[in-house]
Amino acid sequence: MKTDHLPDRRRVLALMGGSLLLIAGASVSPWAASIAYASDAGKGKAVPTLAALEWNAITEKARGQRIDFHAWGGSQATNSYLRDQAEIAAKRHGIEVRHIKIADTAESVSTLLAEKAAGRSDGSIDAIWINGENFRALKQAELMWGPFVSRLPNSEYLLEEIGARDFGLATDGMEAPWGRAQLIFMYDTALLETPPRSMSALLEVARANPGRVTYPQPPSFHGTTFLKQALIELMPAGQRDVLITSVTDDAQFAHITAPLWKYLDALHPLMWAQGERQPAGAEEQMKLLAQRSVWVALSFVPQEVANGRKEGRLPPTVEPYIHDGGTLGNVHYLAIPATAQHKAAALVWINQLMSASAQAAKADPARWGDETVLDVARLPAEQRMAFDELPSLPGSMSPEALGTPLSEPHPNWTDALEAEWARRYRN
Amino acid sequence: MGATLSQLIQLITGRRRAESGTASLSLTPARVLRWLVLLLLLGPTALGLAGLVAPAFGLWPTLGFENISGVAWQRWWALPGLADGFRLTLISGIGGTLLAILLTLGWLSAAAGTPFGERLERLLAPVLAMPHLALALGLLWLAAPSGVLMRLLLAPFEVLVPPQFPLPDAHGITLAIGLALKEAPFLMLMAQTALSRLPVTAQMQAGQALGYSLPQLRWRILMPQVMRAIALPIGAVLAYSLAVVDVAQVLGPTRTPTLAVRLVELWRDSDPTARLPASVGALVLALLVIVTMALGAALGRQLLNWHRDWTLNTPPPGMPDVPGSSGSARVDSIGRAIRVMLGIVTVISLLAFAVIALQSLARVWFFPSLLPTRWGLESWQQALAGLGDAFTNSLWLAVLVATLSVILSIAVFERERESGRLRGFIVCLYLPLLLPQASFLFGFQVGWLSLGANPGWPGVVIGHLLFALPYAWLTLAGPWARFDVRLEQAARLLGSSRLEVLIGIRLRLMLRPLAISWAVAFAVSIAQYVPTVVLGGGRVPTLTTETLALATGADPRLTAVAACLQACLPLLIFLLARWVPAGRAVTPTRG
Repeated sequence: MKTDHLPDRRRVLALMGGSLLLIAGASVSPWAASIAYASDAGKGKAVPTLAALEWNAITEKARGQRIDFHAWGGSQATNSYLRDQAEIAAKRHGIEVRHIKIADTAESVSTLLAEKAAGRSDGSIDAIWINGENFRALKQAELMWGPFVSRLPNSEYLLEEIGARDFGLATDGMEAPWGRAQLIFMYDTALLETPPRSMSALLEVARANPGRVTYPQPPSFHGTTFLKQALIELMPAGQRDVLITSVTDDAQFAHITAPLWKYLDALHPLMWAQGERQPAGAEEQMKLLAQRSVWVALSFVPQEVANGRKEGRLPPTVEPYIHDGGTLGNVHYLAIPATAQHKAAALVWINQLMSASAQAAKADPARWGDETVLDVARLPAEQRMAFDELPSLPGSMSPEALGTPLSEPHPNWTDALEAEWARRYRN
Repeated sequence: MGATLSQLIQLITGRRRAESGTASLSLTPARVLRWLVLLLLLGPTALGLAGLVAPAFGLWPTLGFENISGVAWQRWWALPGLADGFRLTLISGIGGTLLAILLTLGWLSAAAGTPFGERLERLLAPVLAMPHLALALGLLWLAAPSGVLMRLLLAPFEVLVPPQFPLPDAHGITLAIGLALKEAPFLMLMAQTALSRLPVTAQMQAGQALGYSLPQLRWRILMPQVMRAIALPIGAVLAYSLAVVDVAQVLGPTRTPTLAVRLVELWRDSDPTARLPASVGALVLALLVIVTMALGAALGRQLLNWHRDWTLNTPPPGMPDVPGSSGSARVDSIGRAIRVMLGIVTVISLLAFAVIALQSLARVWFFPSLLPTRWGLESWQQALAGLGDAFTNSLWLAVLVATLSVILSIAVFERERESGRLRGFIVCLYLPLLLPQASFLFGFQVGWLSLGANPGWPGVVIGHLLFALPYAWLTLAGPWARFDVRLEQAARLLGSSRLEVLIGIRLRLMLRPLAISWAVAFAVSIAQYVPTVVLGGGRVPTLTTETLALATGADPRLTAVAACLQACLPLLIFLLARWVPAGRAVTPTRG
């Protein structure tokens, strides 16, 4: 009765096999053509033709383009700031900006890798908010476009020496500085009389109040930051220079990091949930602080406490502080993927976000509270005014209180710290 | 609609073949379309598998891995804490499934068909509609040391800080309970659908005539029939519980997490080469799920056999002569205890829902306040600003996906009835449920883009279909198989065409199961995150993508709004589905 058909099982196999061939065949050319996973590709590249055009020509090209801007969408402050800026972009430059709200930048990295594996040059991402490890991943996969930063008119007022290296990796003008972050801590004045202004003081708080201290779990961004901050604080000040360059060998790593592991061995049994659970990131730890489950939290946004108290997601008794020896600082960036389809509009958008008015609005603790990347002192007087008028909210951190940030160690140290942490504490 | 639907079904199921005799290898349009539909369903699965298998064996040319090697396997097995991951996965996955089955058995033996049971079903509708993550968060905000229950207990005392106790615990028990609370209503719904296809009244009357009490009959007669009917849904629950990520991140330990969580961590690692061991892990996890399901199925069959032997060999205690004997009193008190337990479970789930609603309306709500100290609609206003697109996208996507899922399921059933050999096909339908979404969909994404397709709606619809169709199918499978074919045979004898019989008799009488199947597929579509992001390239914002991004932030009030928004559409659909008439009694009562 069914002689005219393959048995179903065989048909299914045939279909699957066919599809496998299909994917293999369709992918052979781009995969073969892909360039090896180079460690530091893109150094000294020439400015792409588009970025070399006169700025007027670029804005003309950009008019009418629509760009997909991938940026973390977990903060209401960020989302409404970007909504305002998109309206300005539409009005002033005739470009439409869609904020693609992502939960994790790794998702966008994944999209770009898939597009590359499929051999597509017409990517779906036009601009991306990025830094650190994600930038490194994309740059090494040759998925970053540029150099373009020096071609942006607003790059003239950038702080000196900002954005040359991102977590130790040369940016080569392929990502434009957008904001400055510095690690701050926060505590609840109703629970602690004085904040623990060092890693050893934090351990004392944990000893006096078992179960009330924790840190985000590495290898999350903030978790790894905590490890690096602790490493720097606990090592002899004279040794710190070794962190600038790559790890030389296992013996050096073991020697330098020994105080860190000794510290964590002492801290972990005293931590929240006996250390079985650690917050997924700084955001979750702030939620725990707000409910007094833990007594100390951290953030990379210096005005986080001011903003959180104003929004009512942090109690008014929470105050920010930083460690006596200083804290880590870094920069976050805007970049354009090599496969972006609307690079002209992406350039105009990035330039707009680097403008004095956009940067001043971003620095407003009532709206976002991110430190500017511009050298305010060098700005023309009428543009500087926007910064002078910024309000100071309760819970703000002044630039004096923040001091000079510590610099990030070489990325090799980061990788090695994450691996060793997992080896020691995930078993 | 009727005409196109019938044509589609005809084409997919190859009904025409019977008419055209043995016109063997000619390429009729019908055959081409049928192959296209099969390709649509199996192609993505094959691409997804290829995208998993290749990196697992060391192939990822974009990242410079160009030769087959065992490097991915070495890296996977060298991961620290794997043994704990296996233990946690099994405890939470199997434990959660067993608990959900126990709750369903309790409902079946003491509540189904009673007014109490009906009230329970109505109350559990929100739990059914709520996304897994939302329920998990609600439970956490309810039961954690700083949760609402603790605040209630501590209200009489002046307490400044929450107490400390391990909830969520380190052994996956909290996770198992959370999963069970979410999955039990689903299994109860499936059991309910199965019951509505059984000649319950006739069986009960016959049993009572033989002197058995109602509780005895439920346990001896109905239970095994229903358990057989919901075997597939139980399998789906088991697969889901073993591979769940978001709930495990909220209710499980994080230092050594479940395997599924570990896979996602690897997949999101800033070092792209971590995806090689992640692909191995995905295959290992899939294998674990398959082995567990096979063992579970064998055990279930054995238990039902023992039950049958027991039923046949053991007369019920205390019957038939003394109605008020100690035996029936004991049965009564057991029934009461089960009802109390079901009541508690329902109340906990509803409280979790209520806590989320409260949180979304709070402006200021810190420990130790039992209720928010300041209320406001600001969180809703903020979240709704710019969510208009997401709302309409979600709605149309879910409507389209649910409708396609149900139509395709019907086509599969009709085809299966004809050929009887669809096992391989159905296994392929199920594969997407067994494999971790992120790594599985990556392969599909690469293949899809390689074919020249762009990220956007078509890909997202197919992506949702991959996960909604199996649920639509398994929701419908039980009722479909138990349909009384004599009705159809009678209609055929009276001269109706097969299509007329399908639409006029079967589908019409199965409106209720069809509606529920549609609602389940709808809810599955609404909750999809990874397929929407991966295959839409972010260009198809839905309630779930927008709100999950918000949920990663530091504002629990926005997370709560997100959860409510996600739950509202499926809830509406489930309530509507309950209104659909159940259809007439299927087995004619014989005088």
